[in-house]
Amino acid sequence: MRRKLLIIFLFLLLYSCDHGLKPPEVDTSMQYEEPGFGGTVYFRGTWPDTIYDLRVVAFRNYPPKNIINEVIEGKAKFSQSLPRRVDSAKYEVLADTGRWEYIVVALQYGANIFSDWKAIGVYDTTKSDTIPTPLYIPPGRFIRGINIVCDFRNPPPQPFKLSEIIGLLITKQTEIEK
Amino acid sequence: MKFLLLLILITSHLFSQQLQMGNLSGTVIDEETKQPIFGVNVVIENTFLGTATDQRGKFSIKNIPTGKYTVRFSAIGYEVKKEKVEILPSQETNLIVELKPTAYTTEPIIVTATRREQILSEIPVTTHVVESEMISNRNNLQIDDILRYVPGVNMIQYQVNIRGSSGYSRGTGTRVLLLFDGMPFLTGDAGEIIWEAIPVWQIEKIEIVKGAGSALYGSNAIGGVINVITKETTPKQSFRFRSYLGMYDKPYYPQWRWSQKNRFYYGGFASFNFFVGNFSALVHIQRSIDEGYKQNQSYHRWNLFTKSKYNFSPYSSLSFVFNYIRQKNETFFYWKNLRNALRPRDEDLGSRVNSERFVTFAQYKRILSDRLFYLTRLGFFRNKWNDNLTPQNRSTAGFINSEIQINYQINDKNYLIFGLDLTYNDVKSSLFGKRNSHSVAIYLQDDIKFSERLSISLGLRNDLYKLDSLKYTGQINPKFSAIYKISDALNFRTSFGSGFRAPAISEAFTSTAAAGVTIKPNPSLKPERAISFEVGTRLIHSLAMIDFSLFWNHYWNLIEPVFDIDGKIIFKNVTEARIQGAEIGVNVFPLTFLNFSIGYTYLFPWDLSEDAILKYRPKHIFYANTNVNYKILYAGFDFRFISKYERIDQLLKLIVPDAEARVPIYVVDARVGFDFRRLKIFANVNNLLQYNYVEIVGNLAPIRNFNLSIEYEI
Repeated sequence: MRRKLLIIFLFLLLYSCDHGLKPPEVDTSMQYEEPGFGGTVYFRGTWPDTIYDLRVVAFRNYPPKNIINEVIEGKAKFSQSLPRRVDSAKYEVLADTGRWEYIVVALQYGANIFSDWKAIGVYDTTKSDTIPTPLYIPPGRFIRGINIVCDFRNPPPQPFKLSEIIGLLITKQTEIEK
Repeated sequence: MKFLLLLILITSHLFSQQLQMGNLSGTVIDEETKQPIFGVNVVIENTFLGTATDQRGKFSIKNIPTGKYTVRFSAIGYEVKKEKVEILPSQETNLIVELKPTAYTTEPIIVTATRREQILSEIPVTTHVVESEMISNRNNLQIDDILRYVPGVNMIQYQVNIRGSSGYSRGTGTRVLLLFDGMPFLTGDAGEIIWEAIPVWQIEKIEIVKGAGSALYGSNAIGGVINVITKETTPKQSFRFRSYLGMYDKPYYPQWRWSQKNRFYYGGFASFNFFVGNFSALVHIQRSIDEGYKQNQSYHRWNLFTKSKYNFSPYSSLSFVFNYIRQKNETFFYWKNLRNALRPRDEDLGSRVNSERFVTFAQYKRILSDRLFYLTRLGFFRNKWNDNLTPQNRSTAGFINSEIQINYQINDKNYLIFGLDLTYNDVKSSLFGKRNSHSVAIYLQDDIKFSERLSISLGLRNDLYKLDSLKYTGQINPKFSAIYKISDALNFRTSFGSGFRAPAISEAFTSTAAAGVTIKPNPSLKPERAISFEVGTRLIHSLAMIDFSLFWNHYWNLIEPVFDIDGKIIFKNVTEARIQGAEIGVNVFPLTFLNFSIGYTYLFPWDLSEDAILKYRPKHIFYANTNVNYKILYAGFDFRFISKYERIDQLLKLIVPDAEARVPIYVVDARVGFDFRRLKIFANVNNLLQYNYVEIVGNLAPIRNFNLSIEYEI
């Protein structure tokens, strides 16, 4: 009996020499995606005459009363400029893992980048209310199929100071890229 | 009505006390060296009268009712000795007692299992004791490290499981009640255990009672009770200090190296014990710093612990405890992925928590007669913390506990314990809002000794509690246990008890987004309930101790975090579960300088709601430990094996990359030391074989590390 116990003990001891968990031999970062989301923006109605810029912007919180802080801290994310006067446009936003509560298509209608913005579409999958649908991005995942409809005849509610905030955001990002 | 009867009994007993009194005094010396022994416990059996020897080995017990008694002498390192004496009216009986040194472990005295002092062989439930010597030798820095080597217990990061009771609930709520010198030691907001707040080097012993203990201790004791008992102040002056320095080895795989420099942990403590007349006190101050083997995991910590005692007379004393911790720690939620196992997610870099906590309580004990004493306690536990997230999370909780316990030995066959327990909890938090809760409980236990061989214990506790704006909820928890001695060495036992756990404020009212998840409140949570049943046998011999038990626990309304339909996480009563199993513990002392112990627990943890194995529960837990103590040299090995958790929740799989990267746990620790009486030197290697494992997904457990500690007592 003693000998058996000793054998079991030694077996367990030796087994522990395999060092347990190890990093994957194949770099799993190949499967790892840069976190973010993307999809298609569909445009309905008549395009306005002047369009200076058009982007998809994501904010962490809704209602957007604190988004100025997010912009200042660089937490809000946005897409490249979208093509204009088309029926639909593909977009991608590289956003960090976690919850994004307010995803909006923003249009710059005037020359002043700090003030001339308005929301023309919001990601909202529930028709019963006007609250935007939040999006959760898991680690290392890029969420596809986040489609947004922009109806120029029926624009969504305009959040407080959205225009100034988006202008500030894009200016800040442009400075960083330079 | 029961209370009235008890009062009448107590009052009648007081008035019927014999007026004839005598005294007992004497000296206890070592049988071999003939030197006096300090700190020998001298107890008159079947009474509450007792004392301990002073530095000259002398003791004195006054005002003993006349009659014939058996006096028991016990001290660590000596065989227990019993002497029969007769106390005569107005006379002093004097004894000179010689104790024989022994290398064998003597039976420990347990206070938690039945709320009274009993030796291990009289305890009707499975109980384990960790003595201070082992804590010191292992240089354990926190008590959760100590619990990792207790049979039937496993830690899932900071969450303790006794026989698979808790699983993992992200630090909210615990199904094991932690007592600190008898005072409940769970935070008022999250109901969690703050392990680092306990000064490990001032611990006298830790008692771990397995199975539902709510019939004596109320909420949270649903899976068991852990009582941390600190060292008593002594009537002598002493200064003790200890310093330690540890270093983490490099990670086994180069891919995991995230820092070019070595990572250290270091610290120490100084404590001073003094006395003035009948007043004695202990002051302990401790500093701990850990640079962390993981990125963003360091901490800086201060601990202050004071304990003082004033003896009004040999039969009444007032104790006061104050324990404080201030800590700044970085927070490592989960790894980035398995390729970056020691790095946190990018968004968690820089996150940290500042906390300040203290617990203080006063306890008064008065022995009214040789068969009656009471104990009353008033305590306060304050927990305050904040993080550096945006928006900032902060929480302040104040928990007040008051308890009175009356122990009354009606006769040699009946021993009654009655108590009243009150709590009030006030929380102000950005996560839970402004909340409060309170509870009232009464309990009664009767230990009946039918014969020298058979004893039973019956108990009942009624808890009434209220959680903030919710309705009052009542819980009645009974218990029954019996022990039958076949011989002095062998006994059989059985126990049955029920338990409950009231939802923590954090479970009912949390509203936050952290670490990538959003949690919403659920004020309609119901309490968890459990029943537990155990049969066991215990063999106690000078060469070996063997304990075997079979257990069966059934749980209802277990609270678990789940995804709600809107994608947010909510705590719900979702699980009915059954955990059955067997446990064996063997301690062998083949030679005077050698001991060997193993513990094996088999668990069959089944989730009846989902008809699948319970999440975060292992099926096999195995420990082995050996110690050699030869003259001044000390050496030891610990080995632990915990089988892989077969199931984790889907939620973590979504949040944590490589969440399925789990393995069985095989860990070996080794130590060597020298004991020159006043000077002690210990060297330890933890995780000697550099085994990489996780206790909770996405968190690599400590890699191999070395430490050296030196302790000196003046």
